[in-house]
Amino acid sequence: MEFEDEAIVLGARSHGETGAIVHVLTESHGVYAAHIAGGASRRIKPLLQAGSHVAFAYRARHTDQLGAATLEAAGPSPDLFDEPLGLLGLQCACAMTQAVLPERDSQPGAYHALSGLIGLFAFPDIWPAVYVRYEAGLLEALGFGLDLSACAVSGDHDDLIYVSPKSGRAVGRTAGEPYKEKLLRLPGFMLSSQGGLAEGDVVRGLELTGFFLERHVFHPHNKPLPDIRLRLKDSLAS
Amino acid sequence: MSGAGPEIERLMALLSKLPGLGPRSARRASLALLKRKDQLLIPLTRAMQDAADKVETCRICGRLSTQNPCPTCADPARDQTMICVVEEDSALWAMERVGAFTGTYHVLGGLLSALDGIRPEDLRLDSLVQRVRSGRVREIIMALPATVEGQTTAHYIADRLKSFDNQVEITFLARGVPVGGELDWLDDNTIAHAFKSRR
Repeated sequence: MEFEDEAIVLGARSHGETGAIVHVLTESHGVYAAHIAGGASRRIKPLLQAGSHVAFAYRARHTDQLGAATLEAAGPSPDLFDEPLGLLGLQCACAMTQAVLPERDSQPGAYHALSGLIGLFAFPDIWPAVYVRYEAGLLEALGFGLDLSACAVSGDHDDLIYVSPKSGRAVGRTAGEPYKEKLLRLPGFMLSSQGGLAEGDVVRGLELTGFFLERHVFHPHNKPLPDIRLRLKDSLAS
Repeated sequence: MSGAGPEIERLMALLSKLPGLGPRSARRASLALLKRKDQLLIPLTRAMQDAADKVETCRICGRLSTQNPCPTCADPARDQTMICVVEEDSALWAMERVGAFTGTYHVLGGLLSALDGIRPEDLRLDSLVQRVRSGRVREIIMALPATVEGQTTAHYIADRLKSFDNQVEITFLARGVPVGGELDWLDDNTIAHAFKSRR
């Protein structure tokens, strides 16, 4: 099996003394892991940083085998070393993508969304809201998308401020009032990009997506949300 | 199998586990040791036994040493108001080789890593905070790798030490063109950083 594709590096760990195992999100082939010969070398190591755009050439003898790959820089890497929060967001986005998306399942939408998000990490006013929408997109890619089109009770399209933790559907203000303690808050920016961003909205958005990611992705595997995701929420809350 | 006996086989098997050595080079190293038993094998055995008996982790900085506190922490000539935070002992040895730093160190024992599940509590951070709390420290130098994980860890530590802002200055190692480096071979970010930090 052989292919070449554009990819975003999600993370890498060293393998042996000179090699590395890299996880990437490719444009057309989904998440792939591969052995990189010489991955510990000075030439390759900078490419193995989370968020790097690379040209990924993969080769394996069998489809069920961990193949080998070569990498070449395909674009500028995000320069976020002086942006503590952006750096945390980048690592979190890559870690969540790797943890959430199944391997070898084509997700071009997720690739383009992550690529766009990486370009925004240098803009602290913008990226947190986009990150929340990215997580909602990951849920959708897995088939657990939130239905925010209309109120699950009344069918109304206006004044949607809650989400049902049971169905993942939006609930309007009036219909949700008696159950508001049990419902999740729906921040306006998740309904449309013109929704506006009020104080605390990003954290509410992270609570919303975190709830469904935990329920559908992490809890079935007896895992908690990754530590970095919790740290990101704490950092954005403070 | 060399057929030389189980003791020699075991020696080869253990040597082949060392970094830089594979089965073939372990065989060569074993042979060299066995041929020079008095000059190499016996002194090496003693040295390894001594190291195994005496080496421990410095209770102040976390580095490996046969003294506790380590010679750096115990040296009154070292500037105790400066702490250089490094990932592992190898980074500390590199800094000491240069001899440009006269303060003390703190070895974290790793970096925060989402992929490997390394969390703040897995690193030697509490003891760093304690050292800062003692009130003697004036500067913390983050000498962590210029990687996403390294810089995330550095920023996390800086954030954790925020409450000591008026007492401690936190600095980061410069990034830019290495000595002997040609611009043609440098990655885009390094060149961008070098421009930003130009003097």
